[in-house]
Amino acid sequence: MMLEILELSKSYGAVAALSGVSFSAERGKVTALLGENGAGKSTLVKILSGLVVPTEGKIALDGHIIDTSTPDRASKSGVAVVQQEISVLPNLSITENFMLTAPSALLRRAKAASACRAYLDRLGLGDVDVGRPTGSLSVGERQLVEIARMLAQDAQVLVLDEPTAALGDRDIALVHQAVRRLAAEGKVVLYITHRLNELEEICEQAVVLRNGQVADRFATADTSIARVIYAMVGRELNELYPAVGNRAEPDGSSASNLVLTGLRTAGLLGSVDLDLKPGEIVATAGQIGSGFVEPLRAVAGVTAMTAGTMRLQGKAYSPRNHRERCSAGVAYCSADRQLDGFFPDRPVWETMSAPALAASGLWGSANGQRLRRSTDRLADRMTISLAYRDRAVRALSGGNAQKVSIGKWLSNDPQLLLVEEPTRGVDVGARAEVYRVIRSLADQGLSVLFASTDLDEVLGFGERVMIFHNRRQVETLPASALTRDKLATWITHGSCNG
Amino acid sequence: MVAAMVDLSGVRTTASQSAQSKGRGSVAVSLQSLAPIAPIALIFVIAAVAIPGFASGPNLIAVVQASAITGIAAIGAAAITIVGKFVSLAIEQQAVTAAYVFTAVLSIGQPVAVAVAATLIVAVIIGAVQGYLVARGLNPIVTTLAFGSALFGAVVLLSNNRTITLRHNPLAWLGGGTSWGVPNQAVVFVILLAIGTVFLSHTRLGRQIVLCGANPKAAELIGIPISRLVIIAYISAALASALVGMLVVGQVSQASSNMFDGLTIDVVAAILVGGIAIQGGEGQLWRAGVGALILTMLSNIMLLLGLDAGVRLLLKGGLAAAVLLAMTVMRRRSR
Amino acid sequence: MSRLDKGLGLRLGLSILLIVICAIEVDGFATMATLASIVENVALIGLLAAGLMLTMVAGQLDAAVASVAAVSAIIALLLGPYSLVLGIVVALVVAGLYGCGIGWIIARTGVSSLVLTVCMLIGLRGLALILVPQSPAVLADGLLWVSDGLVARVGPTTVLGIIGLVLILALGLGMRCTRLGLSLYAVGGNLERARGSGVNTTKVYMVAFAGSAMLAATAGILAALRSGSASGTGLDSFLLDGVTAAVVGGVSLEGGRGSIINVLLGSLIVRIIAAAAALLGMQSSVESIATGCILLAMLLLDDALGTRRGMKTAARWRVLGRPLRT
Repeated sequence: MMLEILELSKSYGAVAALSGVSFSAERGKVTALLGENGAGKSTLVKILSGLVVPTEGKIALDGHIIDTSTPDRASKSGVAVVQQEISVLPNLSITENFMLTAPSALLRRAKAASACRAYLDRLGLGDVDVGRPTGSLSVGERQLVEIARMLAQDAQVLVLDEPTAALGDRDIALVHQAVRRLAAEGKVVLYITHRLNELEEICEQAVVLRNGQVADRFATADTSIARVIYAMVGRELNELYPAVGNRAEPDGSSASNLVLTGLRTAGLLGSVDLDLKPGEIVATAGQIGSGFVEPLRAVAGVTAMTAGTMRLQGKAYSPRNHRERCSAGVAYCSADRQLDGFFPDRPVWETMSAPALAASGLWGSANGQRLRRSTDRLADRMTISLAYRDRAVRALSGGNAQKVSIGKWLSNDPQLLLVEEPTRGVDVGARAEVYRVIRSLADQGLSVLFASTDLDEVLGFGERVMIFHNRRQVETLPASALTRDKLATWITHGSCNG
Repeated sequence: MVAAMVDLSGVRTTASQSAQSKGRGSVAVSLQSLAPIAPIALIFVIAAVAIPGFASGPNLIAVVQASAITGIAAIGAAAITIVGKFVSLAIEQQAVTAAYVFTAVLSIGQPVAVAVAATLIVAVIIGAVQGYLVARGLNPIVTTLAFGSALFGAVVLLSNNRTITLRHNPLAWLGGGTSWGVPNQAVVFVILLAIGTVFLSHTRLGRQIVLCGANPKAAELIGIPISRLVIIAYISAALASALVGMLVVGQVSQASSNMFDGLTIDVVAAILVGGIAIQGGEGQLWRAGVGALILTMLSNIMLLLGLDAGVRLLLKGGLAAAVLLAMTVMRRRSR
Repeated sequence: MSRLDKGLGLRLGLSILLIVICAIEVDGFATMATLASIVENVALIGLLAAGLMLTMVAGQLDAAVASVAAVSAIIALLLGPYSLVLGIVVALVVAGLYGCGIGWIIARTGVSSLVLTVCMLIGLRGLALILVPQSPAVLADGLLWVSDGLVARVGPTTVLGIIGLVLILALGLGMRCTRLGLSLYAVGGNLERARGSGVNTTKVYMVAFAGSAMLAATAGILAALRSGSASGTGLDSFLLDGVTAAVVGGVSLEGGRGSIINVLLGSLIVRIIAAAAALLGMQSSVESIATGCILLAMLLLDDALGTRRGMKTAARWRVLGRPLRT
């Protein structure tokens, strides 16, 4: 009695997101699904939830092939998925969210309210009013509502995509408890996580994906963390991250590029301090919701600073909008660069030259040919092939599109680069190149501040790490003084002893 | 298929040559971008052969003149489309306002320069207010619908719904005159189209308007002042409508509240039929002019064939919907 | 929930305030005849607004309601000499099929509903003019009793008012008590999440646009039966009136929000002002100024509330439920 994934493949054009993935997950056990960003986990989840149709392969439950070609059919086949981006609708109440996935065409509000009350109690949300719009709940509470909704659907296969990534310790325990109960009820549970400590806590077996293929399978009880990491990364970490170039050792006298003193925002409970030197790459790390993105956003002018000072190259700096930030020479890439990093239908050179165009003001003439040629040098520095110059950005591969969205800032000759999640959605090969390019820019004097939930990236690519926990900056340490386990402890507990 | 290729081959080569001479490379040159030119030639040839009276001088001048009015308004309104705010439903109200302001100032004895200046200032204000509202994030279509209603009500109220007739018309030469046999309105249309096209591709403002329409979020992040660009787009639409208002006053020497009935529909249809990407971010202004020309030619042909207003409207709507859907589907396919 | 109640209280208070002011200040306002005509018109505009609400809640907008209403009214009256019931049924079925088609196209191609329905607004107006090119379609002499019957007084309203209100309340009940109704809110709240929650979005769009078209058709037919005629150029103020009532009734153009009771109150507020303006002998131009200004003010208010709810500039560039780029 089990869920079987049979030779599943999915390719987007020439790019294979999954190729020939096969494994099985038994009922009554929690199966961990591991893999780096871009390993194919999210594609697999989308196939299971019916959002993506596989190019080849089948899925079987208890020996019968099941149909997951649409979300509707997937859920009728008994597969329920809690996406990373949860699908609870913020404008509906908790009860209404429950009724949305219920089979009956007529709504019985009172009955549904008492039914979902029971599920919420099981998950420890006993004190929450079921008539409240889910938009007013905390992220953790919404996650639990999502899981409760799955419980109510009586699904046989439950796929949880990083259910605890955004949760605090108390909620994590609640989710773990719920997951164990689901497994004990005899359901198939696929548990996707980045937290290796969760492996031992609740998972009995694990499947590791890498580059769209199954890299390893094992029972968690008798496996070392080293084997897990090797299976996920598939090579030594130091190959991925470039070495720090030759640069004068930052002594006390060398000018700082960005100095944050006592910085506070509405999203932080404590203040943030940072002294960023030219050519330095500093990471901010923390769990989702721990406030680790706040300093970047405050410097970017996206969120307002409520207290403290920011100094850029010795001058007071407090951008009220993106325009003021750009004219101060600060470049910013949000986490959602697919959406706001480039102009998908316009040729590559237009995106690459856009920051310079914007900086030149509104009035005056603009020579398209000159703008187009001016991007050649940038493309060269970013190692983007000249052949792509006149193609629409949409036609580029993910890695090249990322390089365009980061590299466009070079046209403006910035002093400081802020990047959220530098390699989200980039496959491993292209990741190394993105790191290398940013590193070489830093070696020419650019300061980089990046926020990342990927611990390996934080340790491998950052020189120093600002650690956040519970919306406070708890420590800033050189990356060389940290290990993966230590950093994981820091961001989950806010101290170095868990 | 082969027959069609032969028919259009001449059109195609000249068009692709001109596209290549611009040096835009692989993005610019595609059959898709040439599609609207072919129908004009096709319609013209068929109509000239099949319909007596179509190819006559006076009729062609009438077509050009009629398409000039729609075309000028469409050039301005296309700025709204290109900046990513779909279409305006207040175009005819803006034109009526301009016509009344112009005639009112003239009829109290002011010189023509003052009248033109007053009209343009009013247009700038009208455009700026709408642009500000839309830039704040209000729904563009509903905002212009509401604004147009209020504007029209105000004009009718202030003028007591009277028709103002000019005894002396200082713009008659521009509105009704011809140069070398070509109506001056058409000359204005062509000049504006050329200026607009150059403006969009050769000025910082124009290029940033296109980028804003292509992806407002990305534009905002790199420091393009998107709100200001939206306001500028609405001002340019209002200015174009004002120009239309003055040109038609120059032609007919009077202002009345119903003089521009149907202009909004014509302009929206022209923009859609011309094939300007309705989601914004494509700076092909000439498509607005082509759309105006196609629609006016079709209207004229149907008039000559004795088809009435209903059929003409149905065809406008149907054609606009067809081009809109075709472009949407093609866009999705190309991904 | 609390915000909904606050909105309801606000609109109820505003309506009562307006009624009291008008009753004191405007001669001839506090009569049964005025009341009956206000309620009748509230029902008529409410039908339109309720239809628009279906599409607005789903995050779209049907800009073609005025033309749909005109075409339907003409079909009903043209078939009237054979059988009025047949005419009405045919008109409603045609409108329903048209709406299903539009909804299907929007769901399948992802085309902007605003722009597509503006095309339909143009095209269907043409169709109306083709059906009745010269003189308007009129109700056959033998059927004039229908016209009289519709405006017959029943308590504080008329037969037409009761028909309209019953239909609107039935729709409200349907939206509140069926999963389909809930799905409309879900799709308008977030299309992707709704899909992820197992909602058949194509069906939802088809239902929304079919409902919008059929309600507009109903309003058009009732208006035509009341006046006894339907012209090719008639009913063109329906779009502005309907959108104003819906927006005053708190339906968000962002999608996902709106309730029938509030829409009815919104229609009431709009009609009280119109009735008072008419009684004061104001020109129709004043009414169009008032309508435009009320609509703009409500849009601004809605936007201000949206900003306070913490939406960023970028989010406000969303166009009717779909992100600009997907």
